[in-house]
Amino acid sequence: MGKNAEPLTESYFYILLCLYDGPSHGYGIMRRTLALSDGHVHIGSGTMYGATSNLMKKGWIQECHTPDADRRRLYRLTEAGRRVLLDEADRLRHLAAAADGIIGGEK
Amino acid sequence: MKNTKRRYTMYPAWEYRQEIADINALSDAGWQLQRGGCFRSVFYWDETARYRYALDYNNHIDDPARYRDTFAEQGWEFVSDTFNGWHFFRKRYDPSLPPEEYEIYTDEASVQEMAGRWSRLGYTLGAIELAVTLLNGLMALRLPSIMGIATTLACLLLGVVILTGAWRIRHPHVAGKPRKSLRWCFTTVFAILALGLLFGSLRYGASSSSEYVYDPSAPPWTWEMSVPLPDFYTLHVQVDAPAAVTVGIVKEFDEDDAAADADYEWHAYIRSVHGSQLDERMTMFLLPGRYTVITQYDPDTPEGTIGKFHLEVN
Repeated sequence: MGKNAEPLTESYFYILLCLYDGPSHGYGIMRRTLALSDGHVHIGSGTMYGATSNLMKKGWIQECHTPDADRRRLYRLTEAGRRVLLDEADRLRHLAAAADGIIGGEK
Repeated sequence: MKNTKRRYTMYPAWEYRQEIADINALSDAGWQLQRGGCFRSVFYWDETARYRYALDYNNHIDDPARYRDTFAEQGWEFVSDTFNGWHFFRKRYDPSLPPEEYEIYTDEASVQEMAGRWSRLGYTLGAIELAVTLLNGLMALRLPSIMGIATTLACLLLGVVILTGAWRIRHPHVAGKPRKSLRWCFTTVFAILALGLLFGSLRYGASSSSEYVYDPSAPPWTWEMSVPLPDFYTLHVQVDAPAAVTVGIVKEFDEDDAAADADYEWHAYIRSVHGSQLDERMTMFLLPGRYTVITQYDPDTPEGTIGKFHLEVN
């Protein structure tokens, strides 16, 4: 998993995932997370601020602004963040494959 | 009907959920929070609106503008903050939206992170309180007094409550039935401190230094003291005299019987051996009344013997 020694929380994972194909703002990340998780994962404002602060401290995301006059606050994924996301996705795929190998599609 | 009202109440940090529930209930009743505070909150009347409030604890916001933007993006309106890092937000209540819409912390990790921020402060405050308890306790042991014992007990109680709260905020599932216990705690603390202050303010305390020349025909050196409330008192005696000396306290001293060689009924006393120096403390519990501190040479002391005395009662 590279520098990321521990598994990501759901919120951290979805924030990185939502930024994979381009910058987004907090509300956009929240809405997209809700959609990606079929409404299961809601990232509240307190969680969002704490998570984005921590992810910036780790150097996995960066703050940027829209080029228009509004200069809205956006977040974008860094190369380190992209690596962490890919590693985590790989880890999750392995976990899911292992689970499928034993329990198959049983729910 | 007044359009604003002030509410004086105190919620401990670990019961911030209860505070939010109470503010939400007031909003449903038409009272909207205008300014939240640790001890005093202000509400205004608007029965047309219903809000859901959120309370965040964050005393180290690295980017205040980004912090508020993050809340505003999800429809949270900033209400006010307190000097010690609590931030009130609100959002218009829409019954059709799921409850998660009104939560600002939505996963266990971030709930714990927020709780951890206060918990660290709570443990630090609790540890300081216990250190103060220890210092107070040591002082109360050295110079016992009702005030000293009261302060020590109050500090101990506060320290234990704060430490318990620091633990409870990280374990919200066990933090039930809290407000009564806190009120009981603060009532007890204030009662203990008020009692201690009363006793402390009425305490007798004085000191005196003198050279005392022995004269068998003269009465001994005496010092009147009045004790208004029962308490522990410490008599500190410092003597430098070439003869045996007794320093003590007599209750209901009769001046007519005073004599250098009288045999007093001592309430408590300290006696030096012949020709020595003395530096001793004696602690005793005194009931209300008039007492006399008597300094008396032994009867076989040569006339004209001079001693230096320093006495303190407190």
